[in-house]
Amino acid sequence: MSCDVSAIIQELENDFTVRPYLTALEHLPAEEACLAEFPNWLNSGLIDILRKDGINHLYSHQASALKAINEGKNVVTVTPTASGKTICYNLPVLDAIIKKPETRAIYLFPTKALSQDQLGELYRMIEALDEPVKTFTYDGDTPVSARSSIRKQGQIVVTNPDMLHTGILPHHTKWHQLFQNLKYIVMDEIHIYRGVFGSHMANVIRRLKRICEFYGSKPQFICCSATIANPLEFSEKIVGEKFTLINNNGAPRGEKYFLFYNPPVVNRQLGIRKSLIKETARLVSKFLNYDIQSIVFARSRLTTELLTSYLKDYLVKKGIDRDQVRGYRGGYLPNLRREIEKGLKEGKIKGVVSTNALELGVDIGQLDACFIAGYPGTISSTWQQAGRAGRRSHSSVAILVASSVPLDQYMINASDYFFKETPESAVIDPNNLSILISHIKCAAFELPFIRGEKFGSEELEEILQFLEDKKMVHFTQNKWHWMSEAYPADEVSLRSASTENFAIIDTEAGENKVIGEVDRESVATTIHEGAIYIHEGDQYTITRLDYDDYKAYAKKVDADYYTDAQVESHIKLLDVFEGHDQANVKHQHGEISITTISTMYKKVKFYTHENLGYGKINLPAEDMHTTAYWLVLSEELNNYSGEKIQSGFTFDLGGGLLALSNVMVNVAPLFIMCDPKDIRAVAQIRSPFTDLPTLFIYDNYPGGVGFSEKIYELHDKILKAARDLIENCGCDKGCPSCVGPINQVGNHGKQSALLILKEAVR
Amino acid sequence: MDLRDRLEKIEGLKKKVQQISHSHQERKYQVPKNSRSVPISEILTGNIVNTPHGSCFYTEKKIPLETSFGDYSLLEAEQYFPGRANFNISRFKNKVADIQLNQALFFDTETTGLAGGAGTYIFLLGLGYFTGDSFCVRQYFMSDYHEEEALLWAVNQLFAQDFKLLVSYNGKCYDFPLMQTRFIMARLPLQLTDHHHLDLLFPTRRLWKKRLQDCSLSNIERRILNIKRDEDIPGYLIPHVYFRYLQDKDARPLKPIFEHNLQDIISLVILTTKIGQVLLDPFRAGMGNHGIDFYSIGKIYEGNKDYEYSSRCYEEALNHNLTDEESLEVLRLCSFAYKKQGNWKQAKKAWRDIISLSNEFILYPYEELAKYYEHQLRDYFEAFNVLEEALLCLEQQNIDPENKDKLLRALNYRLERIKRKQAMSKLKK
Repeated sequence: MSCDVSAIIQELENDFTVRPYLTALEHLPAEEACLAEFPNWLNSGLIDILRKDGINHLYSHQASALKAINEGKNVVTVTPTASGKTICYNLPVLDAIIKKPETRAIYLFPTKALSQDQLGELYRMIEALDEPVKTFTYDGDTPVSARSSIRKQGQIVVTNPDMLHTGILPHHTKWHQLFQNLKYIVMDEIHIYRGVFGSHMANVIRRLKRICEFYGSKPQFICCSATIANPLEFSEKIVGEKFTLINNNGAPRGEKYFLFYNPPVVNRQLGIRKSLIKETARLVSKFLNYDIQSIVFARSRLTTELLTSYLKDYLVKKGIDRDQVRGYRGGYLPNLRREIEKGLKEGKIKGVVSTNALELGVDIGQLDACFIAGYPGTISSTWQQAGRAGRRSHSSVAILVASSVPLDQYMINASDYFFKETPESAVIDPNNLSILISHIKCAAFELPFIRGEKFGSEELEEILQFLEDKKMVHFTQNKWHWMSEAYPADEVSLRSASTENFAIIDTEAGENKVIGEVDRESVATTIHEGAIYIHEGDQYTITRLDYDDYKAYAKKVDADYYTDAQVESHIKLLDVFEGHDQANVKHQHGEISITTISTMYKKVKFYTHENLGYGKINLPAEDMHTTAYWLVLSEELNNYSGEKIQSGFTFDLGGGLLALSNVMVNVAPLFIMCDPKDIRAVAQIRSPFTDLPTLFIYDNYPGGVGFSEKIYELHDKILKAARDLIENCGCDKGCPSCVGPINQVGNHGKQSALLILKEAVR
Repeated sequence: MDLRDRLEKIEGLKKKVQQISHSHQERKYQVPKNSRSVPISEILTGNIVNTPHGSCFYTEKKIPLETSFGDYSLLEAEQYFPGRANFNISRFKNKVADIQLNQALFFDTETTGLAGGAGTYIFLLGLGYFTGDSFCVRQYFMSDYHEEEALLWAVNQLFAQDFKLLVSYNGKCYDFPLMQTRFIMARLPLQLTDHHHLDLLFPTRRLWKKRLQDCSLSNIERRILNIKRDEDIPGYLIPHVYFRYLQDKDARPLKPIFEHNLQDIISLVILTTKIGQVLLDPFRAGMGNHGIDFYSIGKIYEGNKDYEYSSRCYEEALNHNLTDEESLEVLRLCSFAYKKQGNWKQAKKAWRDIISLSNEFILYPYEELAKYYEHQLRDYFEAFNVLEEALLCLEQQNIDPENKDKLLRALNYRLERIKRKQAMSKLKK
């Protein structure tokens, strides 16, 4: 049994290799449980099962959720990790099915992996019931032979948005038993549906509701979300209906410590700090010594694998079984993931190093300590990760370790900002024209549109007339029917990245054993020929990459280095749609292509991280066509650069542009309703296309989704908001809330950005 | 920018990206200049059926039974129809035994695409059935989307009659589920609940896939049924011709689609007849000298545990030109069919033939021979000799050592047992 963490906190505070580098030590007091009785309408069999498990009460939030659901309301539950939120939907769903076996429910999880992960508790309850409740997962992996019986008999069908979009809705007639009797739609982790993904999702839900109406059902929605600023508004926007917010968390919590750790500086002149990986490993090993079960979050696959290797090495040195520390990330195969989850729950695994794959609700039980190696980028995600540690009865600790990137350095030194700021809002725009029209096509395929019908936007009729002109739909007797051979859902991907993965095959393990997967985007950087692919701490070298067949062949090696690929991207301006001059600047929007290519990789020695040499990567460049807005500055500003404007302020064009791009990426999403990740900004001091200093902001999606056009339309408003934001920000020379941290934009970045903005929005 | 311009731009760019990423090609029909509105009733003789859901157009053609198509006349359909023709497709045999030819409904659909799903429509539904003196084909047509319910209602009237068997080509996977979809979309109950479905694609594949690979109905017509179509419309054009008609209401280009559908339904009858005859009496079904077809038939009989008949088919197969590889496979099946019948003489000969025909070492004929001597004749000396012969042959082979090892072990195991038995029998004596 692990010991209480307070002792080790004490020790850290007294440890001269740690103490000086702690920038925050927040103590969050324990919270008592707030209990409620089981509602009297709940099936007594279900209550018996819970009691047998030692659950004699509900927590207050579970009781509130059940009450609202029983009253027919749509519900969104927002409570911390491990507060028993699955009870909020499993109980009403099972209750309804027991009382009326024809009842059907759909469970939607954002990814295929999650849907499999989250069913453990449901299955346990079902097994204990007298009546069988038929629960099936329906996704790309479901065998064709099983599909037909799932469609007819599945009482709870577990699936993901992509499958719903391409596999279920267009074939709704095969699912008529389900749609006729659909009572509940459960959507877990809805905070994932933000930005473009969320805007697609909202339209998929519009289509789903349309089909339910055809079959005469009106399902209730039960949603769960991680902590975000606007859960109620957000759920209402995704589903298009009124919701009741449940956030009276009644789950108990032991006391919790939250520590910020900034690795020591090793080279003052260059401002180089000790390695994030090594420092994290050092801290984690202290906890392993105390037998404290820990989870470590790393920002990338590579960091995950390096940390796993280092910690395993540490265990071996100590004469402990190296399998007490495991890695965990998306590319691992399901069976391996299940095994690790089980090991964690049973306490056999003492430490797990993970990408954000474990940030979501995968059931691994609660751990004692959580390390976050590098700021995850948002306050919301940081809390979510920290929530992985936290026992109900005794204390736990979360430690954020900063990397040397500017944002990390800002956060680690501004813990107040972190602890007081509200988490980010989730933003979507279901009526984004580009997304909307794609789903109107899908919807027309699924059911003809009747004149006067609503589909979110007021502009439906005009869009249908447009599609009629394009000969995609045909109007007769008050209805628009689909008139094309195409299967429109196939032409719309809900996600930016393709979901096709490359398989990594161990050529020496016989029978072509697949050891892992990598998504297409990461191929060029992780499984190019010559790459060292680290899997659970073992090293493999990629001997051959079959790009057309989605396969990489690997061979186990014992190398003292890892590889790190360099990625370059270039912007090419293809077409100007619109543009105008205003004061001294030019605003334009049009079509661009972004070419991403990896040509070289470094071999980096373990532990010392010294460079051992280079290798070539021979892979095709990836091109993305999209739309962009760009702001072209005047020759004058260009000439200003380096000039002293007033005492203590020298105009810095590069820093100013960088500062401006940071602030724009944070401000623009509020006006164009997207997630900051949906757009990208690139500043060029002298653009080869305009020959002047230019700031590009582009849609980070192939073909664009209309964001840059909107930025172009609203450029004055957005630039003014950017100016106001910088002027009103209390920081001295820059912070992540405005232009970005000083060590990124430089001492004069903030002022210079203001000067540029004054020029641009007179 | 107004909404329409924005839509143009969005859709334009999407198309561009698609073209770049998968060189997406589109086949769109342009409406020809000389088109004018011509109703379907002007180009085809037919009737209007009135239903509670509106009306729709249908044609009816009565084809005299004496009419021939390719190798058969419609009269022969009766003779070789499943029930009577001992339709030896396993599992199906008993179910259809009592069904009469006039209880069969031959059907085929023309649709707005192959994608399937709720957005694919049936615009022409052809149904063929035998009446006393003719084969009647009805084709129900939806001249615009709003006539779908009337079309479905009308065909439902026909379905509700005493039909017990549906006959189609690929209808199990395509036409029938699509029809179910359309009935659900129209909120009408499909009156086909207690029927069997004979999808000819499956027996066709079992019979001719080995030889033809391409089992499309048109290829089967050409290569098996000797039916020639003149100027048939290619299937992939059909949705486009219909979409064009929806826009210009010029029914003239639809005529070939009706003809195509009619021919498909007739071919269903002829193919049923052909399959019936082939299975009933392969030696007189004009199979030509395609040994490989007899092999396929033999396998079907074997599946029905009719080993005598299957070995006859295999023998016939061997009389025609087969590749060595095919011969070896036919001999193998044939030898086991003999064995099952207890025809040891022929079986022995077949195993010997296999050994002499094959360039490579094959274990099983030696094993089978050894088993035969060991168990049937209790002639351990002969069994021993066969195994010795096998060992000698194996040793001369230049094959993968691991594999060789495995084979050697199998042979030695058997050899040891024979030796033991030999010793025992000597003791007894």
